[in-house]
Amino acid sequence: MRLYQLALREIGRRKIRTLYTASGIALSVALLVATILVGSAGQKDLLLTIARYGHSLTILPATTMDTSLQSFGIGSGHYIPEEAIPSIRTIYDAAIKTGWERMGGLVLQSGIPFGGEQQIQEAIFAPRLYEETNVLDRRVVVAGVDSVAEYQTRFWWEVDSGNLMNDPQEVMVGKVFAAITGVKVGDRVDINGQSFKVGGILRETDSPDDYMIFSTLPTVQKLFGKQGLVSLINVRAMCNYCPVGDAELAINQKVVGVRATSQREIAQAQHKIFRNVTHVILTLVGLSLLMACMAVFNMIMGTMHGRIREIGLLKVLGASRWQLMRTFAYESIALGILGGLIGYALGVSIAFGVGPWLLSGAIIELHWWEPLLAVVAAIMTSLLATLLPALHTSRISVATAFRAQ
Amino acid sequence: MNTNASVKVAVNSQPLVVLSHISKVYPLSDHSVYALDDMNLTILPGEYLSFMGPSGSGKSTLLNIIGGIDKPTSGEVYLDGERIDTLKEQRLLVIRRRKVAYVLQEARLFPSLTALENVMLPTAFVGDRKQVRQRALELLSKVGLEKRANHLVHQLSGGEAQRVCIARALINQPLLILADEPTGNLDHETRLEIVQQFEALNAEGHTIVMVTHDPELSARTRRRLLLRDGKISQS
Repeated sequence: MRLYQLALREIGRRKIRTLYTASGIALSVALLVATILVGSAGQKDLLLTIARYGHSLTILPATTMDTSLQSFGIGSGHYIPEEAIPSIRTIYDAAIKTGWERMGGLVLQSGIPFGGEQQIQEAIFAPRLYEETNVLDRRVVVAGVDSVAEYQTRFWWEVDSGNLMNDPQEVMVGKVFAAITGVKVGDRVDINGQSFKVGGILRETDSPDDYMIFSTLPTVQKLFGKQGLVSLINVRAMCNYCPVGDAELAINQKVVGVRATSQREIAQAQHKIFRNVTHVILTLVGLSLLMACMAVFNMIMGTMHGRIREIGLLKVLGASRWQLMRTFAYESIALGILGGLIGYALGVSIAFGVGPWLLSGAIIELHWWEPLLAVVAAIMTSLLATLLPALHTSRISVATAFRAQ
Repeated sequence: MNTNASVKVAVNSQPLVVLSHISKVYPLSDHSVYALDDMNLTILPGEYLSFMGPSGSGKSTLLNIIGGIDKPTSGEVYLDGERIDTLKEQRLLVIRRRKVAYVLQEARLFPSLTALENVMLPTAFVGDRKQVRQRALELLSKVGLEKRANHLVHQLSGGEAQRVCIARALINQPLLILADEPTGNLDHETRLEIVQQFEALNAEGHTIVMVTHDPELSARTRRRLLLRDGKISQS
């Protein structure tokens, strides 16, 4: 007969009490698991989202000093030749690759937790040609864009009505322009003496796009006699921690006549948000563990009082205080394993049930070590919560415990 | 000092238990209650002794003091030649494991264990694993329960459960068996079974000290003591 056998048998006998205590642990572990899973998914989703917004470069003609609408080279006579784009791309790709391989070199995003490999997709180069003209008696900027690349870089674009432009004979207009002029899908507008059908109205973006008219790049180039020229190039990096700063430096050093600017502030904001979210998650995890300890402590304290008779008998039969503590510890470990496994299953269910509702589009990912972590956390919680009641109860003198019969 | 746990001891050898001027006082707010009052007693190896007395006469307190579970307020207690009323818990633990065994009024068994496992349980605290199963089976056989060895407690009758307690009391080969109302909750027939069991054990040389309300049971012991107001009033 071994002490752990006694502990396991007693756990098996007190099914209600066991389930009650294990469910307390399980709920706490479930909260922990769900917090970690949803939190990680949220973190990842957040990173991906702000990475998509933040990891980009804008390449302008060298004389254009900022990216405000007034300085887009409209009417300034400064353009970037389209034929320069492949060589800029080559320089960009080389700089990203070198910077990525170096990992820890000039990487703008601080706080990268791990190195390792990441699949680097090709960056998207979205050139734009801006020209100002009169349409419906209003001064308006007509933007010629590469529609495929544009949709990829401005993935938040949605149409209010009609469809995204896909026909050279059609234009898409910004929401504010449509509101001011009263133009609707299906109407025709004259641009520089050529008639175009309004194919779609862009949903409001809170950006200069709301005031513009969009058509395909070749159409606008031809319309304004600017064949082979663009006003700027938006470059969207396709990796989370792309060292766009390296690419920015390389382009500025190696390409004459253009100036590349990256969005450092966004990268810094990303790091700050990431850090804050991590702190919130860690605080929640800590609180859930503390709650678990207190809940299980209360449950075990309650059951210990009901077990004084049993403790008295064990002492009379020769059990030392250490042996009693060991017996309680075995029970505690068994409860921890049971509670941990149930809690993990419950936590995963909660994460999959609540996660998508809390974080639209977030993907909950499971890892092999998570059940292990759940069980270890449950055992630690159970042991911690058992320690004090067990120490207290095992200290009762034999005479006192024996009289409790 | 007798350190051998063998039960084959002769009557009239060195005393197994000596109580010298034992008092046990429970102080209350306005007065003190004397559970035991200046009591002297000697128990020899192989004795079969019973204490009778009304409730509150100090019977159970006396049993607990003899077994080292409780300490007297004054006086000296010797067990197997060793003074035990001044011992630390660590040494008392050894005494409880090796020298003294209890049989209680209720059959106090662990319901999750079988009869055999209940008998084996005290060996878990001693760390003795040598032929424990065999010994436990022999003891169950001795109390007539060899066929009930693998039965859970709830499958046993009251008398059978009490016999399991007796077998459990013997597993570590104690010098002294202390029985506190061992037949208290049993019917007449079952009581007789238990009495016969104790008589058989005593015949083998076991020293048995019993507390009982039952005059019939007391009458069958070899030495009968009557307790009243914390004193031995009749022997």
